[in-house]
Amino acid sequence: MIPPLKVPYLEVRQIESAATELLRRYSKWKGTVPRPPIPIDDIVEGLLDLSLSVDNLCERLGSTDVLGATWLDEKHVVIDSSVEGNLGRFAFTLAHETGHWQLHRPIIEMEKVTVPLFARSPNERATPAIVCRTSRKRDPAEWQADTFAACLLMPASDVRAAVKAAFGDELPTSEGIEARRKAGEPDPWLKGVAEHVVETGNFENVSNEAMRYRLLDLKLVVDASNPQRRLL
Amino acid sequence: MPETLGDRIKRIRKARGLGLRETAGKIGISATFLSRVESNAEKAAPSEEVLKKLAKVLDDDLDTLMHLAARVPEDVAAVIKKDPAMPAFLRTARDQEVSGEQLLKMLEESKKKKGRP
Repeated sequence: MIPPLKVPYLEVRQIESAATELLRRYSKWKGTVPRPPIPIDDIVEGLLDLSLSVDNLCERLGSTDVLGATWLDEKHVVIDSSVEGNLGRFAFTLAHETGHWQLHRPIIEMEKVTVPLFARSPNERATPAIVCRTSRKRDPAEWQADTFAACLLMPASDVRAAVKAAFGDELPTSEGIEARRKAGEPDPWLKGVAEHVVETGNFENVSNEAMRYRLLDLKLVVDASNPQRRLL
Repeated sequence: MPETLGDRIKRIRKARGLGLRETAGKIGISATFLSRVESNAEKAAPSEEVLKKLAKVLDDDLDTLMHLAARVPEDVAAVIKKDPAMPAFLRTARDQEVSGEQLLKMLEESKKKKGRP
């Protein structure tokens, strides 16, 4: 059993900056600025030169909730076959693994030769692989990789441009967005906004759900019932 | 260690800058299947039809891919089936340790000799 990965705290802006830096590297390597849909497969296989496989990970690892895993020494990323037919989920899982590679592999590598602080306990061996389980979605390392994936596939500037192209200068506004989010209720209005942004911005490999979160995180939708907004 | 079918496909695919899913999509197979072939985890070799498409997409030699997949191309099988002396000819070539390449050379030389005045 591979233990959960312990990682230092990272702010969203640090993660965003790491994703932007990777896109900048890709742009330099490819000679063109990547535009949505962000070519995540080429970033992984081409730029980072990682070996990519699609396989039944759950069977391979004897678990029921594994969507992706990265073997560090082998430079090998495996995505579970169950997400193959879903463009958005596949791209997000692959971008998530890229997040582990960019954000967490350096920590693990460093701790192989120094006193372990984060990635492992003092008497533990360095982890051979990072295995991503949906049940550990709230672990800091998993959250960071998810945030990285969102920033990589939906660069803030491209999402802003798509919102502007779709809705003009006025940000889309509705009542009770935050309340519905907190209650975990479906939000057909937000779903419609996300659909429009995905289409306008060419975010073909981004799911509606991922775009909804991104729009909220970037504050590109306005909750009219928010008292703070009223004050402004 | 000699190169396997999976090693070759992966090497050429990467050299051509083709993605795993992109290649699988062009051939009309799942990325899972292509991935298993590439990692030599698939027990059943791809069909001739798939290998033909792979050769086209990867711009690779079909005969080499068929050989690595341990498959006999349909047209070759048809030649063997059509000519009753063909199995004996092939067995003789095998027993005398004459390779396909040597046979081709011999045929080429014989053709040249025939062409002389």
